[in-house]
Amino acid sequence: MRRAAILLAIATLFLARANAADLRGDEVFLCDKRHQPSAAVRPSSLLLDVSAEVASGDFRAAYAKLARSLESSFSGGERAMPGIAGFLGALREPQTRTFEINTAASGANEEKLFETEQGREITFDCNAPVPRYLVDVASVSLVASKIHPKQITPLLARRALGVARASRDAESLLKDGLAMWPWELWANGLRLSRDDSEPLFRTQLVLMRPTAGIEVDTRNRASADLNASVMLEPVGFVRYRGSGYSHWWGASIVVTSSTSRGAGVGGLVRWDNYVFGLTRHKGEDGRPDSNFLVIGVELYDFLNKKRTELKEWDEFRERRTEQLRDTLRLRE
Amino acid sequence: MNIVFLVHGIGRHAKGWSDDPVAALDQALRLYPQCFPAGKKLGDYLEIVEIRYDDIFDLVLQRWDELAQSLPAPAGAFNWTGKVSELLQRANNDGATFARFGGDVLLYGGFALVARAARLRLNAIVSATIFRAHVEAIAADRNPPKFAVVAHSMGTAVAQDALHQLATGEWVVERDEIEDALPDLVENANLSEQQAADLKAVLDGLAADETRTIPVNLTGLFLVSDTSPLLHRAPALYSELRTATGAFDCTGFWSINHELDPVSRVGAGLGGGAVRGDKVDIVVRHIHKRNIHDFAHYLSHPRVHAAIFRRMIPDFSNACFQQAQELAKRDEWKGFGGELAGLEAQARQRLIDELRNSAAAQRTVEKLRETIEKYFGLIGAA
Repeated sequence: MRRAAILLAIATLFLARANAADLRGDEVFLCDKRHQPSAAVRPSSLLLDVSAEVASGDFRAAYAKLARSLESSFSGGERAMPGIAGFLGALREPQTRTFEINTAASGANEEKLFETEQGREITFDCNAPVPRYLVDVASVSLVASKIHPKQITPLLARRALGVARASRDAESLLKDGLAMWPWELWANGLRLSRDDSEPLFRTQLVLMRPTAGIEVDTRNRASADLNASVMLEPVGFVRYRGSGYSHWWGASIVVTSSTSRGAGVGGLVRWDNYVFGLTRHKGEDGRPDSNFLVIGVELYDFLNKKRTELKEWDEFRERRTEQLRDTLRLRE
Repeated sequence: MNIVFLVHGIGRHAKGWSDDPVAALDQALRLYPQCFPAGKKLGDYLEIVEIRYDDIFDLVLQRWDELAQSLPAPAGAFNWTGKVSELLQRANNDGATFARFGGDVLLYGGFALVARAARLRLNAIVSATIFRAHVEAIAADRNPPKFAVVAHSMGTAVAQDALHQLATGEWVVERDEIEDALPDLVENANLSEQQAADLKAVLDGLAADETRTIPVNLTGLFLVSDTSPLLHRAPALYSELRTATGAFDCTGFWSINHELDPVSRVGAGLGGGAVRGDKVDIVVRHIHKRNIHDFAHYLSHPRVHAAIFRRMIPDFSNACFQQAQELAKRDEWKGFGGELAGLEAQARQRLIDELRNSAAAQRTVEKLRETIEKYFGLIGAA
């Protein structure tokens, strides 16, 4: 019983083997069967024959050698059979084509080489015995497929690097760059090249951007005029510094309307998240025009933190001085 | 082992999102014991690479939320910053709702910078994987694997756009740049020390090459619930792209749709889709759960998984493929089955009518967004 089960499993595995073409040692597995190619195109001989060309990177010569070997294996009118001239031509002009053999997309019981290349397609009909010359074509094709990675891998490495860099930049802009409001994200998107392999812009547009900030009257720095407000940057830009999108500088026109001195117009500059600027407010009710300092919230927080640190340091210094004085007094 | 990239569609997709579609394919293997011995898993036959770009949408929503929170309420009668903040915060806090309302479609279709980042994410994974697989093939002295992309819903448009860019862009960096960047490249592609050494040997042995654009050469592109005709942003579809030799860059192309799926019915666009003669159209009609748009629900159908298996798994013989075609003729694969097998006739008809009615008549991006909202309202899940 157990033996029967093992035999059945082996038989099942054998029957279920691949229907896509593959090399099995010196045999070609095609249409669910192993096939013996002609001696002239035995895979191991072909690989040995082209090893010097492959090692030196002369793939054109290697493929041309494969074509010559295949031609020498033909007899009678086989060279004139459909697709053969095209296949030989493809070997002599390999460009970046692959030589893989696929099962038919249509679901028909056949396998195909160059299946979407008009005039070059070769069909292996799996409902009938595969003729020897087509087995030879498959053998050469599969050997060419085996050489292909050595030809293409350096290019694949360079492409993978180019794409990885572009991807890193695109995500870094969204993640680390100056955050964009929806309309800014849309407007900056309009400036993109349609080609993703073109480098991403280094200058970002600022458009109708609300920014939280504080305005300080340069004439009267009383706390009443130190208002947290929403400023609007109608238009401006930031320019990214360094290699990524984490640091930038920029400038914008700014409009404010939050102080008791009416609307103000001016400009601001940006260094990373720190914003600093100047606005001019028209004087009303006989009061003169005023200039206001504009400070972004991050810069204000930063300055405040520094001020607190300074204050804490002053307090600490005073405490230490007092302690020192007390110590000295005790000694006296 | 051949490699299949899975690309998700609309909705929330955490890391590991591909477990469901893979489970559906694992289950499908059991239908063909003469090709797949008992106990075998999909991973024994294919390398599955999950591609996720959903986190890019999350990032954008999160940054909008941060911006909104940074604004103080302005003086005056109308607190406009408060309203904007509320809107943007709601979008970020409830990502599932945002997705159910077709937010992903708007982000991809309306914001070129977001679409670019999503495309590049896909291409970075695809190009690094293809490169790594070739290095492995050289090291093991065997033929390289074949590659296929199976994309779902909005992912069909992302895949078409991204692959078009990968095949047509001048991505290949200068040869001398490789030397400096080799450590990064080795890390990105997850190469072993031996593979890195093999790669270095190949790079050292080759002459300079002026090629800047190389084909993707996909063996299969499977678009499941295809919205790419409507949502694609590239000037042309990747599936229609030909290489310098005149061949299609992608040698096999399948468009797989459900007769009642409102998303792909609107997403099919106004006839601007594929024209290539060898395109394989598969239309399924099974209703095994309410969410017929679900990726796994599509993949469970014999005609769908058999097309993928036949193309990508050498062990899936022609006999097994024919068996799948016979299975597909059974009633359960032409109508109700699975968890809805016991649904009474009236309820069945009601569900069919609702599904039919949830697709908008006009095929525009805004109508697709409305359709998605209506559809998720109908099935009650994201």
